[in-house]
Amino acid sequence: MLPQILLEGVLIGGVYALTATGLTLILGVMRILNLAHGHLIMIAMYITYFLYTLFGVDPFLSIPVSAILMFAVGMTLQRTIVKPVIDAPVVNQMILMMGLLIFLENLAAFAWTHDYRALKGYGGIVYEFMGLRVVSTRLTAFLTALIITLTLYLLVMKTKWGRALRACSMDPEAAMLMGVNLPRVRAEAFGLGIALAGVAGSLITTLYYIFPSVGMHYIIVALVIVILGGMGNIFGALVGGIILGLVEVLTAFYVSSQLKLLGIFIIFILLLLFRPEGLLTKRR
Amino acid sequence: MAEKVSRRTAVKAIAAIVVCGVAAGIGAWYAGLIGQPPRPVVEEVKIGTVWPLSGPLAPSGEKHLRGVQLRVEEVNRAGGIKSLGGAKVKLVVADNQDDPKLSASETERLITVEKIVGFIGCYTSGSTLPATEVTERYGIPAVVCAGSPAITGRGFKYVFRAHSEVFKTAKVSFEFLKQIGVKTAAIVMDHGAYGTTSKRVCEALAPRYGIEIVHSELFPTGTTDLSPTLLKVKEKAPDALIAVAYITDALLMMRQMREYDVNVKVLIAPGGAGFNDLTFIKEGGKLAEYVLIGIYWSPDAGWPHNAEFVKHYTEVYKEPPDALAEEAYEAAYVLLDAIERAGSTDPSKIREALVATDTIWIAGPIKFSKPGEKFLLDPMLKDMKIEEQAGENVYDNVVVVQIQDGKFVTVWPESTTWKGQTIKIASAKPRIPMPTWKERGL
Repeated sequence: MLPQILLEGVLIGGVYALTATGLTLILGVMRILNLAHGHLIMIAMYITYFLYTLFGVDPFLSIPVSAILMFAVGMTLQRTIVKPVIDAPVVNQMILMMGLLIFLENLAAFAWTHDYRALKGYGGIVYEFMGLRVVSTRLTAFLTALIITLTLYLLVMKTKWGRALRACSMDPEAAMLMGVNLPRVRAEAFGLGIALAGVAGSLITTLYYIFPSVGMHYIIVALVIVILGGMGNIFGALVGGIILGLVEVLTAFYVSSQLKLLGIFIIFILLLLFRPEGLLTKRR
Repeated sequence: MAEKVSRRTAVKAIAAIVVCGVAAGIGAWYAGLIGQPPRPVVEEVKIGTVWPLSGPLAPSGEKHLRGVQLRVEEVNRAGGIKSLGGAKVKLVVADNQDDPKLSASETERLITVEKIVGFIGCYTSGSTLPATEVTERYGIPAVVCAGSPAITGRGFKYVFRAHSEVFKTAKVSFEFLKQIGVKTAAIVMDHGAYGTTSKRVCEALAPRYGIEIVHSELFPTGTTDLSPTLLKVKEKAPDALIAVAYITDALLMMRQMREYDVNVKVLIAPGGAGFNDLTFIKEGGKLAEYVLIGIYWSPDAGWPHNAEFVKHYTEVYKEPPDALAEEAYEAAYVLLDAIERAGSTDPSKIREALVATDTIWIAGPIKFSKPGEKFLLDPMLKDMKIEEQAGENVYDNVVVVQIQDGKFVTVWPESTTWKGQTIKIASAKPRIPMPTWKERGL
């Protein structure tokens, strides 16, 4: 059973990592904690759900659509509500994001009711391999998450745009003096972060149910991962996600399902006590 | 002449005597009827009902209210309370927002301001316990819809509960499991109040039915992954899985049981929860098939008047009733039936009539335990400092329902005998064992 459990942990961890990459990107570049990230994932889940139900689009194929739509949502949010608070105190930003979260949840409940929805007739194929059972949807979700995270990593580390992004995250004023269009980079980073929420949303529809408050399940885990991996560290989010996935399934298997979140939060508290800068961040 | 006159007089006298006698007889007969002091004419009978009608539990409270309203309307349409000269029943509704304090104060307001003579409420045990403290203090009979064993275990005289709760659903589920030959079982339940209590009750009951519990675990409500728990169940390979889960978790459980090829002979959910939700069938589709539910009422169970209730409810509210609407409808029936038999609006007379209840209705027979009878649903309750339960329905009104071809159908018990009369209950045969996922081709 142990290899199966470890496999589960890694697979679920990849998806957790993807929920956290968008969050960590926005946090790194803009210093804004997007508490509504989980709820934007929820919106993407509904987009995927309706594409599947109305037009029969496979959830994996709807990734580009939900990513582009969510990018547009992200840019709009950035231009309208995020920009005014970018230099405001953290508390104001948090209150705004909390407001956005409540707004999105109620909007979804109003538009699509509180009913639980699933992609009907969409089930994973189960592969048996050396006594291990792998569900195709989980494997595909994991691989997609892995590819997207690595692409993002390369984009940020190896391209000119990525350099500008990193500059804005390290020292906004110096970046501006070097000719970086700070507002534009910030807007693009926010849009990209939300587009990642879109990708995560599409993937999660194949694993879980869709309902207006589903975002809460993912935002809590994503926040822990962001801190575990180091704020703004994309590679850290991937490692953090997989660690969290493993901690969760191991606690659930060897201790009790009831206590799996406890396992995660024990790690979280220890981390805040001993390595608040994150596991993968070099101490300055 | 004198003879003639006297004869005539005699005839007159006799006639007068006869007339007087008849008149007196009628008068006396009449006087006998209204021999007691004259009583004011009862125009209406006020019944109070308190539910959570706003806040997160509002949809459930609303369903209960509909059940009560339907019964009141039926009684009024059929001519009101006949023993009170056709007095109409007036329902006074209050909202407790599932707040225990508000539940008590609203109940008190209904009694002191609205002058209600009977009470129905309140869905959650948390708000029913304080409300019935108030009805007891004022001596107002209360027919409750709430699950806690403590409600009837406080030595109160004015509290009655007709429908079944956690002990009965668990007990009947185990009777069923024993009958189909289950030897080992795993318990996987939601970590909320209901799941926690159910787990404790099931663990205590299992040995009495010769069933060994090989694994027992709680999981958090709204979890996104049940695979570690299900893999443990797979490792222990029990005959039966006994589960309590709310809707998303119930759906996730079925989905992941298929993915990890977890096979059991039977999956039974005592109390229903998410498994008993129509959404479970709608979203679960083929995965939901074969699941069994031990529940206190089912729309197709063959109890008297059940079909009429389902039909009438569906006509009025444009949707089929669920167990929540049913328990409230049943409570209203019990209370109004007692008022009819009491022929009085005196709460103590209504209480006497409730104590004498011995009837059978849409969810099975009803007869209440009396104070001093030392009735207990389970000896285990002594650990909870409950010595006896008064006003508890002595019958275990629980049926086992199975999902067959996308429908909930009653499969057990097949029939029951009540006062020498055999009543067919099940509408189909149970499909047991549940085939493996491979056999089902899923």
